[in-house]
Amino acid sequence: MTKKDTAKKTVAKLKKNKHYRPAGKKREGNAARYMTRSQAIKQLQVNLSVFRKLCILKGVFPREPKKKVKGNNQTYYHVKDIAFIQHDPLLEKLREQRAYQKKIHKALAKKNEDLATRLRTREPSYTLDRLIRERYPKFVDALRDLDDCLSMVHLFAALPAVERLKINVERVHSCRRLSHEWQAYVARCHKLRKVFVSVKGIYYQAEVEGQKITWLAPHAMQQVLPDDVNFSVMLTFVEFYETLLGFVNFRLYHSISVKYPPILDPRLEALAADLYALTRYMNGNTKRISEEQESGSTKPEHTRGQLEGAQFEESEHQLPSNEDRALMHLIEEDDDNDDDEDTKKCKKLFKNMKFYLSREVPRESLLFVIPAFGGVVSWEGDAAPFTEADQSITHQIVDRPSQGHMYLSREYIQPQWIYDCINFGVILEAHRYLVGRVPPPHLSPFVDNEAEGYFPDYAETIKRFEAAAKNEVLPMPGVGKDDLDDPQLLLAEGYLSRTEAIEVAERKKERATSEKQYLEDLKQEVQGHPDATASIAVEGAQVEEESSRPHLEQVAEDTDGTALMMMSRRNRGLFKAMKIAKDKKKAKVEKLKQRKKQIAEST
Amino acid sequence: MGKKPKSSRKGKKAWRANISTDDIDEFIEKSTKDALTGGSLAEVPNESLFFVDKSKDLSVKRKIEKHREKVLHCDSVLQRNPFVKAIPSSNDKKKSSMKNKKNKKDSTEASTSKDDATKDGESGIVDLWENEAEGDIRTRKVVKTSVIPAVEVDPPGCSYNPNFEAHQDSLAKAVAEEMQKVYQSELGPQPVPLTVQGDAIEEEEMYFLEVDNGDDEANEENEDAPEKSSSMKKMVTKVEFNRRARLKDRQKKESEAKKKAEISKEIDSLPTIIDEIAKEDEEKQKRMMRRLVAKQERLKQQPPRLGRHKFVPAPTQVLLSEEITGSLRKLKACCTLATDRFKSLEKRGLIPPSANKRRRKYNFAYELRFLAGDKVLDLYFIDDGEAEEAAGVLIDVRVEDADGIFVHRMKAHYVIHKTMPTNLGPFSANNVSSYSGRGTAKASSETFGRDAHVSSSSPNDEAAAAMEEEAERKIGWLLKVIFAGTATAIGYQFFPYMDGRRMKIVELGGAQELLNMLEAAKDDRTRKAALEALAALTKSDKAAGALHKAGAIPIVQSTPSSVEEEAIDKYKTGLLKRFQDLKYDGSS
Repeated sequence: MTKKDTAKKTVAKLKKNKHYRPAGKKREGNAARYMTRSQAIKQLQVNLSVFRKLCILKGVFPREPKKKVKGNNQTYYHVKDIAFIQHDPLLEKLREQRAYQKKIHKALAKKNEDLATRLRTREPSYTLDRLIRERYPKFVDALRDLDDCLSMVHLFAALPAVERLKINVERVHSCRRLSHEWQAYVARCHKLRKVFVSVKGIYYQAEVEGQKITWLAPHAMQQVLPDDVNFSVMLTFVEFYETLLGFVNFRLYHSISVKYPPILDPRLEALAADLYALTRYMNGNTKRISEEQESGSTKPEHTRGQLEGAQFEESEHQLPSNEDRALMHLIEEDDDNDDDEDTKKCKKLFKNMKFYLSREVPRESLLFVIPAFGGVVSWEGDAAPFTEADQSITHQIVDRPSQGHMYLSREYIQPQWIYDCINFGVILEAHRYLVGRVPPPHLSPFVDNEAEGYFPDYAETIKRFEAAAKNEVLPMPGVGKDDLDDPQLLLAEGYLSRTEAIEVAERKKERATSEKQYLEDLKQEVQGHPDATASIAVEGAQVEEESSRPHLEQVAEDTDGTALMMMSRRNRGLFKAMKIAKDKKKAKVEKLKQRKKQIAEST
Repeated sequence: MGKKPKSSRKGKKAWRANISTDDIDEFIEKSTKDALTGGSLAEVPNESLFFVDKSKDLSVKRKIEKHREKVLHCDSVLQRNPFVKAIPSSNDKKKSSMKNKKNKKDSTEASTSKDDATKDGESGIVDLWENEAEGDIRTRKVVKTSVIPAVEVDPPGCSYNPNFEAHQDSLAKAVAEEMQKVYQSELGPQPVPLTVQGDAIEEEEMYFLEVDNGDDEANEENEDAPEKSSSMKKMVTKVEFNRRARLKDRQKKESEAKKKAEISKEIDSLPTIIDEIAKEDEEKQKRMMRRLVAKQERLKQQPPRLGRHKFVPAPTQVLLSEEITGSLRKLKACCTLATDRFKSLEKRGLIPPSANKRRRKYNFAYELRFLAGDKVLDLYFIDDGEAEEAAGVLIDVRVEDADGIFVHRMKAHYVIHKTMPTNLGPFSANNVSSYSGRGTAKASSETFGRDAHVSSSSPNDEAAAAMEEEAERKIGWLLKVIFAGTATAIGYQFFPYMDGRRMKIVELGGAQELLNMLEAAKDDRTRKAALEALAALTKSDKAAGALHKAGAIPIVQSTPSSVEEEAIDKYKTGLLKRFQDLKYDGSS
């Protein structure tokens, strides 16, 4: 009997040995590639909150494996992601911090206040510089990921400081400072493109270094801290984003030769006019530095700008600088060189206009938006650059049922006028937006009407107005190109006499040659300076991205059957999804049109 | 110690034979040992003991050299042709990557040291991307978690002053979302009722519930059956047996023939079968495609399932038709942007979705302050439940006073920081109505007893109705805050509508409370407030009746009139008149 038993045992051992795997490698497939959150925590030897923090800071997010080995109600992480966290020095730092906190607790528990305070002065801290560099190896990467960052920072700038949720005052202040710094840069460089006021908040879109950055800022009202939001998670995100935005701001400020951590006028800061203080600071700083630079050597970035500027200088009409302009005026002729078409257009939208904000309008938003489009602005309150009585004010922005005392020299309009002007890129007629009237609808600039195939009424009227204004009333910046390319438009205006047509052709040729030259210059520069390549490549990528979708559609239309066969299965699926979406859109437009017709009939 | 005493020489020790020679012996022994072994090692210098063995080194060197010089046959073939460039073998790559790693390590060390250096400087901020072109950073392929953008722009219907058609669209969507919730709750399984109708079953009877009477008989029958079959088996004769075998044979043959026929038939219908298979394949393919498309669509709307809970999108933020005013000042804006951002994080799959609702219970007291500028006008302590109602509320109430106009900032348990917009502008009734706890703000502004009144820019009926509705929700709370005395009472003079709601107040005991207050009041202010509230309540006939029943008339009559407060008299007479109109005489 004993013999038999031992024999069995040996067999079992052999079998076990056959399936034996070394300690590190236990399984294969999804079971080996993914681990649950609790496993990950066990491996990293930290607690849940620290693990969450690490994940957010390192940019490690949960995955959905094809086979959920441990069940459907688990959160899975990739094994390599966890290994990635494990190799980070931050892990050690956080553990150290936790140990240090224990020391402080112990001191407090023993009523040793002295020791506790002494310990608190030397708490270990960590910096996120390395992580930011790791996650965003290029500056463009950081800009691409700035949407969330800006929205979060703007949100926290408006939140109340609550001790219970650990939202402390310093954090709110720093968020507020960072958001103002960003806004000041965008306004200073006229990078803002679109604004949309929705119920949720105000959406802004800026274009910085070819990247479209959209963010959402809350309305100027008290924000509620809801229960279903995990603020510790939000705070970790904000911590990371604060650092990121700091570095981005640093880089952007230095690109326009302004010292970064700006030093503000304490009086203005106390009056909560930070943005104004910042613009003043930037103005003063750039003037001084540009003077210095003119005498000294210039950076390679600037040489490129000058090249670009040389092209525009011929066509541009230079205005003599006005010395007695108010402080808020930001347009400087000598700084025009390194701007693209859009920026130039934006810079001149509110040129020669002076705005005054009544106290009931959203001040923060308008103080940011108006200077971004070249306007001069003041408000009711202390430290304002000029008062209501100033005779040179052209527009006063009010939002009340009726205005008591009115100056005849200025227009009294509602804030929506500003936003609509910005979105349509023209100065709209003010009579629709006068005091006490219900203004026309505020349309979303983020909807591409042409792609959608449906134009709301007001958009159509503005389009007509725009077309009329382009050729007659307003000397629009950078319109020449459109006019030249579109001879039909000129014909319609009765514009195209024979001689003029010849002139136009000549001008066109000139432009083409200058463009070609410019391109060549660029090419040379590409070979010479490796710095320039990145931005150009990015621009190219952008163009490609934009063009890729319609291009695909075109292709699909052209070759139906064969192309469909040639596509990979995945692409075919995507294509079908696209088709479905297109059909849906079409149906929606039809529905809207029908509804409109119904309304028209009923009234 | 003194000198050692001289020992006598007479002892045995002094004999020559007894003098010890140990040391001499030892020395001799050692010297002989040394002579034999070649000397002790401790005294010999290291150089003579050890030497570096270089005899094997040469071969190693040669090995390396040989490896370097070795050219693979394939490479050598390619080398002969000058137009073909050899792809470097994997060995080279490994080496170079190793080298790079070393470099990287050095560079990171250098960068950290640089960081340290700059930290001592003014700001601690450096240009992180100064030398991004060098590309020496350890980059990791970033996995894009989702196709959903970080900031999703609302549809045009969510504008604060939307286009009509777009607004209808968004509104329809919002309504659909709501209705879906309603339907889901309606169509879902019914909850198990807490009580069931019928008599209770006694404990003794419980034991017999499961027992079935018929069971025993059935069992007996079952037991009989096998016996019968066994007796049947015994009765089979040989003839019968043979017959059965033949039958079996025949059946087998028949089935075989059938099978053959079937197979031949199938072979004949092969083309149709192939067609069928193709069709099936096509169907499968289609299904897969459908699933792929559906998945793509789904990923645009919501994240993959990342945890225990399902992602629930935040409701659409769209104005109701009557809320569209066209004025930015009167906009009833969303004040929970934090939720929006949090949901966005969940939607992009950056964090696993959390459970739907998490209500925290606070179990400590809060202070509720009423401020005018920096001056604290009034301060109340409220407990957790009330604080929850009041939390997140900061209200500016404009109060006109003899000294001028004040803006009272009411805040609950908040640290004011300077980010608060200092110029919120005049507060409209609409705007205020969006806050919870607004009713109290007004009420308490009245408690200051300075003939204060809330000025709202456009107190239209709609706003007032909305206010009442809001206030009704707060009734429970208001009654609880009776310690604020007049607060309850005053709250109700603002609501001159809706008899049903007045009755509710009466039912909740508010009227009795008021009467008690009036009776026990020691100062005119309280009395006035109570009377005011009663006057407001009696506008409803039913409520007036209830008040009458509660014995309001004698109490009101007995209220002393005051010199300072003319209003008391006014209310008193008004109330009495009202009671008379309704034909409740004073005697009863």
